[in-house]
Amino acid sequence: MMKPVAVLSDNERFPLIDDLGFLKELRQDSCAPAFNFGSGDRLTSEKLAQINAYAGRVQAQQFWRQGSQPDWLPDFLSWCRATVPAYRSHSCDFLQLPSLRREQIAGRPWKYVSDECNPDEMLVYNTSGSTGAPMDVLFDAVSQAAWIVQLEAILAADGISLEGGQERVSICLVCNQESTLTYASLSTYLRGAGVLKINLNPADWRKPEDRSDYLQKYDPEILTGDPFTFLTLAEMKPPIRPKALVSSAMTLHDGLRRRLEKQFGCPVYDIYSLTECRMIAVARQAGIYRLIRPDLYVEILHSDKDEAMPDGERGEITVTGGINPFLPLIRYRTGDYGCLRYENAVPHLFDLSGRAPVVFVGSDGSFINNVDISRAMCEFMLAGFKLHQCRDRSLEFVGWGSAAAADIRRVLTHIFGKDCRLEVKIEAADNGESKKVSYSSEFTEADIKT
Amino acid sequence: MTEVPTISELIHHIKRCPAEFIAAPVRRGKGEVYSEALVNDVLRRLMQQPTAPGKVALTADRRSAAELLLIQICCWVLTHPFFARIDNSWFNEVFWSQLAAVAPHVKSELWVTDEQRAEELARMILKCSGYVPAGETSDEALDRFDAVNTVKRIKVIEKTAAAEERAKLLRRQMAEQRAREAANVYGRE
Amino acid sequence: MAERIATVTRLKESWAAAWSQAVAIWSPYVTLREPTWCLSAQDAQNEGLTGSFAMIRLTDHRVVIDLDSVHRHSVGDCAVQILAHEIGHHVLIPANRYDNVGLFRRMRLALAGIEDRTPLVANLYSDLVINDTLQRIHQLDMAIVYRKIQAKASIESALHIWYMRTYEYLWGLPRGTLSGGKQTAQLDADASLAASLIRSYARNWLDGAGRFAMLAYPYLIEDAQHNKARQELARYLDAEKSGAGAEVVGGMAEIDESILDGIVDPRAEALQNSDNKGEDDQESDSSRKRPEISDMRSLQGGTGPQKRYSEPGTYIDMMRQVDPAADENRLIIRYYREIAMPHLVPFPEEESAPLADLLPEGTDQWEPGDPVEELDWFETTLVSPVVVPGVTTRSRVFTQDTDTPCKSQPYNLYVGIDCSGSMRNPRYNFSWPISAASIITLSALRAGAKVMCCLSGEPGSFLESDGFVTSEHEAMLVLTSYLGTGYAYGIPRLQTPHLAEVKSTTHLLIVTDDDIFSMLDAKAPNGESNYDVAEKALARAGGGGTFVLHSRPGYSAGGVSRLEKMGWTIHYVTREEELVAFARAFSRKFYDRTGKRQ
Repeated sequence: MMKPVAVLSDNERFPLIDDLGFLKELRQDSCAPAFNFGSGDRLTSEKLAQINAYAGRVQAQQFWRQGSQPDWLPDFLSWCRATVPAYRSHSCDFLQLPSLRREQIAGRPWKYVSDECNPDEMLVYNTSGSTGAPMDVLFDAVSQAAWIVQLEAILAADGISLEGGQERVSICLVCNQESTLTYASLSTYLRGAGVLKINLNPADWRKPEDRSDYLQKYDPEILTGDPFTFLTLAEMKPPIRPKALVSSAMTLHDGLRRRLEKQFGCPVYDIYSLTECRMIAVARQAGIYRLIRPDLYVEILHSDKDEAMPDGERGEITVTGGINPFLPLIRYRTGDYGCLRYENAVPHLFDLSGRAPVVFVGSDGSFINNVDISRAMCEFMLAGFKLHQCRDRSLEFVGWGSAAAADIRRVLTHIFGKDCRLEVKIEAADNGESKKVSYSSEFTEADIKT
Repeated sequence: MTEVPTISELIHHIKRCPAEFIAAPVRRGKGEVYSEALVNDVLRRLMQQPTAPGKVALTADRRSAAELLLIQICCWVLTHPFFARIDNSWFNEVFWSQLAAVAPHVKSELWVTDEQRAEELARMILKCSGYVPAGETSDEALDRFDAVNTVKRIKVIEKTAAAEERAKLLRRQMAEQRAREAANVYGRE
Repeated sequence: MAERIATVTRLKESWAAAWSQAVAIWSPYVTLREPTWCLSAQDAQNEGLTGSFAMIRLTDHRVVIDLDSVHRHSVGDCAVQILAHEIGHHVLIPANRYDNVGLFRRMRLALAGIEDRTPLVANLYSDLVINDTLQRIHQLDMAIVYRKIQAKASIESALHIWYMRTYEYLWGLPRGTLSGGKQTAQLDADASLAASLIRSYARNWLDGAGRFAMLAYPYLIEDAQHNKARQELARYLDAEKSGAGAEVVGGMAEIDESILDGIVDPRAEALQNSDNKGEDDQESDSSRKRPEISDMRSLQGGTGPQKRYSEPGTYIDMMRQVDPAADENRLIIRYYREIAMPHLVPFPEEESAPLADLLPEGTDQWEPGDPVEELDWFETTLVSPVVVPGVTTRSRVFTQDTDTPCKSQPYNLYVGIDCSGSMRNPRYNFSWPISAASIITLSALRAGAKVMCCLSGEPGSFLESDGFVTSEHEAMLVLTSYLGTGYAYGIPRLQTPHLAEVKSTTHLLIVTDDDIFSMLDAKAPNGESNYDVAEKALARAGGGGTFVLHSRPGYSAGGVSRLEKMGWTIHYVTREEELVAFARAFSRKFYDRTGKRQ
């Protein structure tokens, strides 16, 4: 698979920001990592106005009432019917509409783009698929920038606000992987504030100490990352004072949450989000996720039938709505399971599964992030695969599709080290039905905290 | 029993259409061939009444050049001896209106140069005359006419072309954009 | 087993006997060697056959036949048809490597977004053209071959149905004879358009290629459809890799505008024609739908000088599709060389370049698109009195005799290029700095100078040639690589031992931007100020130095005046495009040895 390439000039990345001095400073700092990519929000004044309007709506909008559908739903459905090819033959009765699975979109994403969209505004993000096969998600600059608005809404509930402005790093996306795209960027919506994406892997830095020094110097308002990354970060003990930590991708357990809150002196949020629709819900304590977007209707559907489960019963989390005209969703099955209950008229998700952290351990005992595995598997023509690790560190791999077992073996050996026993099976992919990606391991977080 | 020609025989006949039949029809005073006169000549021949008065009034000025040209070509087709052996009452308004529907979709010279269009014309005329080409069943003949029917084809294309064009445009844009940097993203989801 | 071997051996005899008959169908003057006969699946695999029972190679003008597979497909008695078909690939379409690339580049334009399908579509199109020619003009019963194979085939994918339905239209076969039982009105419509197209463009098949690919597009837009179609049609794919193993065909970096007219969807044409309802102008071509040239340009991203070139990523993709074994480095060098070529200084005239300076080393194939001045007419005429561009044309290859003392040795050249994060990767996107550096480097080499190239993106990494070199390949290999690290050219690179012990007068050329002043303010690893490093290097080189800054005059005025005091020349470009004009002027100033030296 082709890797994305940075091709824009900084002026194209930030059409509204005249003074890019801060960006240069972030890149040329003597402690800066070797950034390997460029990225910008590409917001024009028209797009910025749309984002600000969305921010206003987010504050004003109310959740749908229990047992009823959102007020905006009929308009949304008729707009979809009128302008989205894949929805053209849909009926008006929401409850009769078929649900939508990831595989359906993955094969033909263009059919889900509204006729109103200007193709020149299309952006593409390829998800390597930690729970499904790789897929291209289409979006535009507005729906992309919306994540900062959604983040603000979460923080605002606890009285935290982002200061933004030039000369300030507002957000730092922290990764800890073998390799990932890293960049220094700015947010037009946050009035030119810095946005960093860094990888804690020492190979990205001139000196390991630079990681801590760089973070200290720019002291980001918010750090985002996955629980394992935050654990690594905590052990580095950088002297920073973030306003909040935002964890995503997998469940954050209370033990680590308490440790992080104590060490960094700030609240820690666990966010449930998907590339297809951005943020859905947030948890301040393990297992209880408060929905945060009245513009995204959440239903719990039966796993095999397109029927809503009775209130409070467990089923597949399904979403409708969002603000992305390149991928308006109608009853999109997220692949995650849970139940929905209302507390003080606000819907909450409970017993969310599919996000349990999976701990893989390399032959030298080091922790291995499954993102690195997903990324590496992208080069193969696999519809899906399953990887399991046993207590003795041996690995069992089953792939569906066409790939040489020897090549899989080579890639896994590269990631896990030479001494992990490895069993690789390749099976033919059934036509049509594509298999998912699944990771499982007999190790737990306890095994790497030591 | 009347012996019906095969389709290939008719195609062969069509392709030998003399230049006079595809010369520009006279409209609003300009052109070379008086289509109306040509049609009436052919009718007289078919009815074997060389001196009968003209039966058909075409009002050439109200028809398109393409339609008149197709009428002229049909006149040539009808010079095939087969049509002199059969009843000619089908050579009427119903027949004319069909020509008006198809004519604008086809460049006129293609009727006599392109294999498929010649076949379409042969099948259309045979169908109107109520005969099935030699060597075919009526179902086969119907299906084969369907397969080369320009009006039908245009309808199908009209129905799908816009959606296909849009899908193509988006697909191309996707390929271009996926290889490029996206806007800054918020991290793992 | 033994029976099978006996059958296959018998087949070989009858097929070998049919060969001359198959050749004669096209022309008794066709000179092709007898095919390579594979008697077993293993032999076939070794020859590179995968899934199909025949294949052709344009490179060595070969036909390869898998007789075992022929037997399995029950087409053993169709020797003349199948052999004539394979010969058709050599004499009709694609016929030669140049037209093969031409076919691919047209189809790639039409298949924008799904260019990876090009070899498949090109193969199907070629087959249609050849088979229809054989069936209609040469009266060979090709339909029987397809009837036999299709009788046992799985026909599910829309592309497969459409393709076979097209034959039914072409040859007047009853519905379903070849295309199974799943046609739709849309497939019928598209097959009828395809059949008309094959007839109309049989002679000028290159002009119909874009249209055919446009028709195929909807049947290939989804990956799953494409995979299914490939699977079902695999046995027919005999020419997908026909361009493999060849020398790089020249002249393909530049966009050929004349081909854009042929990138039209026949469906749109059909609708467009019918829009003229009742109007007199129906015969005029002007009303036909044809994408604006500017549209097509943006579609394929014309770039570089006069926006005349394909993006390098597009170029490499295409050339690797033609020849999957092509070396990416050679391709990217070829790309920048083609762009640089019109801007190079002329070859030294004989009187000013001592004969011993450049020694003729031999000859190489000259391809259309190569500089005309490199064509060696004498050698070409020796190959064949009939000149076929790209086939009989030769170019002379020179080597440098380094021992020969030279009276006026041109300045050697050190080229340092900023290859930091702010520079685009020249392999994906056209790069003005690399084009400019290529023009200067190739001009210098042409004039007999030695060149050292260095890419640097620091702090971070750098890549340099092994000292001063005379090899075009070595120099260009460095220039066309990419780092993307750090923020500027690393001034400490000027401390390289190759510049410390420099023997001939050398000019230093550094291409970079504003950020170089942050770099100059920093210190070299040995603690020395980078300004001092720049000053010492300039003094040692002895041939002057130039900073080409992508910047506005006036930026960091203090730094600029410091450099100028040392003797550096500062040249500003405010737009990257100006780099090419700079490179031309610089090359003429230093390396024009035709006697008109400035």
